[in-house]
Amino acid sequence: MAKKIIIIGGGPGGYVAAIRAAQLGADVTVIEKKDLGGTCLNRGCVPTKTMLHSARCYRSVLNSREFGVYNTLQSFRFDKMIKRKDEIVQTNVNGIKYLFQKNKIKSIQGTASLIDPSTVSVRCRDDKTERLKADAILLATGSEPLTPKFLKFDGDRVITTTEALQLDQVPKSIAIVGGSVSGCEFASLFSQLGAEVHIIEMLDRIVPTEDAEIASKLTNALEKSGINILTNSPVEAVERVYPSGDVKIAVKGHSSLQLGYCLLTLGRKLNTENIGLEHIGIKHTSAGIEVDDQMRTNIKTVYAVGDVTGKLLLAHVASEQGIIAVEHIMGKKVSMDYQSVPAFIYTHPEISSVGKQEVELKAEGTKYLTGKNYFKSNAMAMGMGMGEADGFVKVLADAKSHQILGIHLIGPHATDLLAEAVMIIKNRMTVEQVKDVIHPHPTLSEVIKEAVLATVGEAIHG
Amino acid sequence: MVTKILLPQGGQDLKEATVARWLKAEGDQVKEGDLICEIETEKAVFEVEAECDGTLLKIIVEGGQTAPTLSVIGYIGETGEKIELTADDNSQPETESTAQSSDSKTDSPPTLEKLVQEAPMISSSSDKLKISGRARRKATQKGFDPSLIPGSGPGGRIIEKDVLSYSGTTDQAITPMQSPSSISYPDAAGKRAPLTKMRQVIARRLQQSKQQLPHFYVTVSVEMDEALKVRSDFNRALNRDDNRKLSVNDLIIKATAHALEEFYEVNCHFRGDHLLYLDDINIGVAVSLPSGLVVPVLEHADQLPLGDIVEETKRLISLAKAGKQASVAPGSFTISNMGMLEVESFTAIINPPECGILAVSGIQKKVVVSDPGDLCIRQLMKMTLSADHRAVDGVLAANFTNKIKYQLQNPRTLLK
Repeated sequence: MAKKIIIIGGGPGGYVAAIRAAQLGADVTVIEKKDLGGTCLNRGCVPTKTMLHSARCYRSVLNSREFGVYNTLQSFRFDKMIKRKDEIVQTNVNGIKYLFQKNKIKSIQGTASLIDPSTVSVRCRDDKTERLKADAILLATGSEPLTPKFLKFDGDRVITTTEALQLDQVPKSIAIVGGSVSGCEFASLFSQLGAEVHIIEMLDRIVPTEDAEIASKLTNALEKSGINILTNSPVEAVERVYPSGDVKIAVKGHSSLQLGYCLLTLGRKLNTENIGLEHIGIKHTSAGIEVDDQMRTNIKTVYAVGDVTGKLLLAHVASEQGIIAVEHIMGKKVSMDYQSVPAFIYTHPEISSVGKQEVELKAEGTKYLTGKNYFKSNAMAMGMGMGEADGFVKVLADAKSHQILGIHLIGPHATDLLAEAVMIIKNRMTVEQVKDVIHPHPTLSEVIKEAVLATVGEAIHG
Repeated sequence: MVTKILLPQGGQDLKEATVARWLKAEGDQVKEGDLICEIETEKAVFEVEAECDGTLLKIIVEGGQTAPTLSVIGYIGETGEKIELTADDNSQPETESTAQSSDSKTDSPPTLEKLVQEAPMISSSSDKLKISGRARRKATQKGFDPSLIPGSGPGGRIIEKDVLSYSGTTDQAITPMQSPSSISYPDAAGKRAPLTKMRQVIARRLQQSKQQLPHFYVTVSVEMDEALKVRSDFNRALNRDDNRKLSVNDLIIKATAHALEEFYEVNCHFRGDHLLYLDDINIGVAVSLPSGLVVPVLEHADQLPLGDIVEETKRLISLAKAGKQASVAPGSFTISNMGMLEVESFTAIINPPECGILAVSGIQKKVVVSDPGDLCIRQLMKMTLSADHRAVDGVLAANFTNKIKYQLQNPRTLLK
């Protein structure tokens, strides 16, 4: 008889795992409380990127004279952008539904909690409760935006990214509290659409998870586009002002700001509550459910993947973990590798990275070579317009073996260009091996090769 | 078997109520479901039905007297049955039967003076106040707030002597209603109308509030164009015969509930020596009846989605119009809406121990100057908050009222 697997959560961790498990012959049931696709598809990456693409289109139209294209209409309709985004999200959700049907995966809309290591209780939308049994249970419950009480989230003008994607107009002015990935993406989005944007970051720089040089380049680019960035600036209090509805934000060391909206992008709260972890004794902390490299919890039949494990809160990590988990359930020998996990930020300019950063190599005491190449020296980038060609690729390679240890990009299409870099890191390639690969001309990908060459002083256009 | 008639619990916070009048006399036959007496509380006048068939054997609490809720006010049984008074029954306030009976001997219709004297003044702190019935009446007669009088009886209970000595030593006294005997009215032709019990309650409570509570007022103009659009969209989505139509008042209730949630300091009772910030948001909605005004209370208004507010308000108002008391929860705030009467602006009197009331006027088309400086026509509505200044400061009142305004001008906030 087919192995029965219950997956709690239909986000990129859960739904990908479900399809992979079905491919391997399992009998799969997915329980999702809201919409298939989870945060990434409904309230996160996909809608944000779709909106950012609309903003990019608007920017192209505004700058079209540089390309010899003259237009008279320079306006946009935010409601149409939101509608288009919703349609794209819906198409994607339908796509998952189709894939579920094709793979004979059952999906239930409801909330689930663990009863014992092989039983789950499901409360459906109509308040009926049923119990399901399985050979293995996969927890992929994800996370929610963090809303500390003193910041007085109200879902109206003090909002999270969820509400920011449903606004009916572009805010005249907005404070973004937290200058990490999603904070900078929304800053970039609203700024391109004409809002007055302030990023308020408690630490000494924005995007603290990225390479310092990249972060400083992004800071310059965002400031140049008119965004006000306050660092070392903890928010002390938030209050609403009526009847304007404005938000007054008290920031330590600065005079208070009064703006139309306040967007909280302070990280995420993992969904470890109300799923019965305590009930059956699954080890976890507020930093996530403890799992091994096969995504198993301390209870053999229960696995966990995605944000709820607190490893790396990225959709593609969740999907990979999901595949590892179900392959292990189905008897394959697999193990999760976090060494070559790519990271992106869809700001303008875009950022992407894979592998180690300079600070890590310094801390390890590894001697390394640095190679850098700028997009402005690339013919393709120049053709895209000077506003777009800002940025560079930075490559870090081992001084002795020339193995490439880290690749960091900021600039046009940096996110799409990263796939090659991931291949290089994952396969432990050396400078010489990349040197051997012909890169098509004229393309943006040449910048990666030039940056690799630059580590040994051999860049042609450097 | 003798059945006790209990004074009903008229509301969660009510510790006592007044028997307004008996509809049956001792010795009368009653049937189960017969109306036997009327009870008057802080909020309303309502009726007590007989729980069984029998004879009204004895009236313990006469009309006009106040007694603790759930105490025995009378007995029903078989004619000739003996009533054994329990300890319970003795816990009523002093009835001072002599004074009462001498009053009841006069068969003439009640005079205003008598009614005023009988109508006890229930102060906001009365639930804690120890005072004898005689002292309470004396205090009412003299126009004192009983809670201000130092008691010298057992356990600090205020007795008649205390009231008499208080009157000689202080000038804090407020006269809530001048004794008619002290005023000489010029002769005038007209039809004399005695005050109904309800009118007395209204008169007493409003006069008490206006004289004892330092009212202050905040008025704002609200652009209602968006809210009206939301209302018509909402109603258009309903079936034609669906009577759950959304009214402007429902939107105002919802906005007010949200505002009370954010500015919890307004959702408050002023109780003599302390403020009580209430856990529940219970909004009273003033309803006009031919006989006067009643205020049914919409409980947990903050937790109800707009659709439920529509239904619940409709239900409460129709019950109130049928003369029934539908809600027992204490109100935390009141809304008085004269919008349908095309009133341009008015102020309302606070319903103590609440600390605020919102007076909502009609929507009128007005020319206004818009943000970029153009002249345009907008549907304006004035709202005035009356606030008890002992509990609510000016900035708080302004922010609270402006929050309601903000929500009505951004009505998507009400649809969540």
